[in-house]
Amino acid sequence: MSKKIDDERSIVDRDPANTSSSVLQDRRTILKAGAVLVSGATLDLSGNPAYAESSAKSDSAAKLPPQPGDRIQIAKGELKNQFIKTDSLEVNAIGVEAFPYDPKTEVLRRKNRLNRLVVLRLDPEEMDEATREKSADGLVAYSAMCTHRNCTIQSWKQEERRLRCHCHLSEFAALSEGSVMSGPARKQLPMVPIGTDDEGYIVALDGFTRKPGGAKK
Amino acid sequence: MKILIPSITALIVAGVLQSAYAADYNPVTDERLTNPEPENWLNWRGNYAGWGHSPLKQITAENVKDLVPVWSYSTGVTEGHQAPPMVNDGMMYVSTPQNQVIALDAATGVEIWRYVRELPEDLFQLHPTNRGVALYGDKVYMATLDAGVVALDAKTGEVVWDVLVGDYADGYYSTLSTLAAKGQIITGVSGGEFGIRGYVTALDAETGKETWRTYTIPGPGEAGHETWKGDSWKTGGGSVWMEPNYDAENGILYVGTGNGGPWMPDTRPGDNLYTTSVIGVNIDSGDITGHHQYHWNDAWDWDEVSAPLLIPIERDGKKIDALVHAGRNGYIWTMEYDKTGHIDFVEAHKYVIQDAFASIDPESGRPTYNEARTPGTGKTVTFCPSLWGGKDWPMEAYNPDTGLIYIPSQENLCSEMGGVPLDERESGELYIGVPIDVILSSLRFHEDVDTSKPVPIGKLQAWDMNKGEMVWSHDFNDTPYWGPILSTGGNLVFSGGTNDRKFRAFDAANGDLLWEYPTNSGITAAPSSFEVDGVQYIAVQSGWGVDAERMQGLLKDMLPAGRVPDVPQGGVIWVFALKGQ
Repeated sequence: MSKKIDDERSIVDRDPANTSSSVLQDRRTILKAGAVLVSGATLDLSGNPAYAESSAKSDSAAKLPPQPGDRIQIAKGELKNQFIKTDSLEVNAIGVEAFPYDPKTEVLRRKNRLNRLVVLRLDPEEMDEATREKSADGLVAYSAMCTHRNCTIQSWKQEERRLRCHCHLSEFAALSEGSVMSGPARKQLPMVPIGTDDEGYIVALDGFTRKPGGAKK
Repeated sequence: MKILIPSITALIVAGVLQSAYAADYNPVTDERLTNPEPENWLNWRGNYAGWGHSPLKQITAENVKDLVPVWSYSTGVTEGHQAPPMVNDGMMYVSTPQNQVIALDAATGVEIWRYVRELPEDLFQLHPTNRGVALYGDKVYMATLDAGVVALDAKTGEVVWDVLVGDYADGYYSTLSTLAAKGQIITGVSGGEFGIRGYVTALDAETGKETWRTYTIPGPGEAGHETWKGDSWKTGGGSVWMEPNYDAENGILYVGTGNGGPWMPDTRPGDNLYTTSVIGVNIDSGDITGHHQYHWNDAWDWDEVSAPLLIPIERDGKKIDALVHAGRNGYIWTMEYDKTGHIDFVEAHKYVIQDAFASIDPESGRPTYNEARTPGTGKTVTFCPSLWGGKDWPMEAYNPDTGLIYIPSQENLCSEMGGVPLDERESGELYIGVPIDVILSSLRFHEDVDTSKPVPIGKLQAWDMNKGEMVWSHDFNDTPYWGPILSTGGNLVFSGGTNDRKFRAFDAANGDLLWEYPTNSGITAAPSSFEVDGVQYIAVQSGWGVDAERMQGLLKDMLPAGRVPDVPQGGVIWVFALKGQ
């Protein structure tokens, strides 16, 4: 594990403002300028060194976790197969299920269910600072894997802006970095920090903020 | 298709203790399982017939007030603990969520060994539980959440073999207690919510090699296939997530099957054999010997996967070998079986409020439906009982002394539900056709319920099946009731299941509440009873979770604040005996 990745991880995990803010802002700027942002050291950012290491061994790009520059492709419903743009979703409506997509290799990273995302559009004014930093025009991308037992999160408590897992009713605050509000889950829901590219598509600025999915025991 | 899993670990502890216990392990034979000694609990339900009854009678209705805990043990995991402590000559074996097996000294609680399965990190754990192990020969067998079966050395906990019977990434998984008989281990698959095609499978007890596999949904050319249209049979559900009961004399398994999938009936027109049924299966060949479908083309998520009890009843002066099942569909069903495994309908009685069936044919038992209570795609209706049914999976018990069958039922609950057009099935993801948010807000009280007063929901019922009548009942207010039943020869009925965390004993003859004890968490596990050195024990795991917790979460929003307590999670094995023993 390189020192660089450890540094990156601490930046993403750190709460909130200052360093984190400036680094993410810098990346957003870079992406908007269309620069290529792929280096060995920034691949596989998951917030967990062991996870990053095992993922790096995978020979399939379709199993890799979200990478910087990935677009987000909708998996289900009326907008199926579309890439999310800033105007794709309705504010405060139930999120869409989606997967990261590498536009360079044209690979949808769908062969790993831990890559499943739920993307919502919220009001940036309602978000806390740390969440807003990871959002783009109100869009936020969360891991759709409940951190309790890996159930796919498909329930949305609109009034409270909470993502809910139907399996065991854990609830996560969509306005504050997926923090646990109730239920058996102990870990907050990971996010994928997002920005926009030149064409208005939503792109990942980074990997998951922490290891996605639930505990094995 | 069976694949050896390389990544299994067994954590073995207390090596010195193991060797002390290993010396005199008493192998479990077909003879012992068919005629179990009273002091042991060798079958999941005490015997192959599914009675959930111990003949032991040291603990009685008169002295049960002196019942006290003698040891307890933390399992170290959360979620729904559902398995009974199994006991063979003083050795106890208990499975827990996350596929642990713990071996203990049954009288002292000393841990002998512990097996912990390493589950795949991408496993979708819709029902993170396990309902029990099978004991056979010198091994312990557990079905696993990644759709496998593992055989462990009963003396050491070492893995003897480990096979997969399904693909967890495609939505197949296993939570049932396995059944052992005639050199085979019988297992089955869950996954009705993922668009699987259910089956029951036999594995060679020594090697794990599959000897037969019988789909609960017939394929092309097989009888019953005509009850499906198009390709709907390929994803039609009919899962098998509870242990069958077994007629050992004739070698016939009686297997309960899950509902059809996806949930809405118009997505799979036809009767959908053999979903929501009991099927007889020849244990040597896997051939289906008979069936009774409790209800056709299910619309309500009413699995009928809890296997019927094999009990003798008398009807019009005639003795009947009966199969009795308290259905999730709100009727208690009586059928007759014979030595060939043929099944005939006898009668059905409503045992909770049920408004979905308009009639039941007295000859065939086939119901007709009240269309206004039958949901569909784009058709939302209210129906009773709720989607969790009159009785979900928690098992009934039968006491041969009182002649009564004891049913852990849920009353006064209904559901409001309807479907939406289906997305294409995605391997390993939910394939229900009803939005999750609809399911999570579906629970309703019956229209006669007044929530300003305590609402009777849980209802322990005792039925005399010779007469087809309820003899007594006990209500539990403002609580889900998910407590499998233990009956004992001391004229007692034991059950937990409620959100006040209590384990209770009732008089088996009249339903009087005789004893209760608040445990660490809610009890959704099957209790068992055994004897060591002349002392009778009652054992049960306490550990709330899975559907009991889901229902609890919904009831919290339906009843005034403060009426529904929180139930903490975390598993503990409790063992009780009379004070001074």
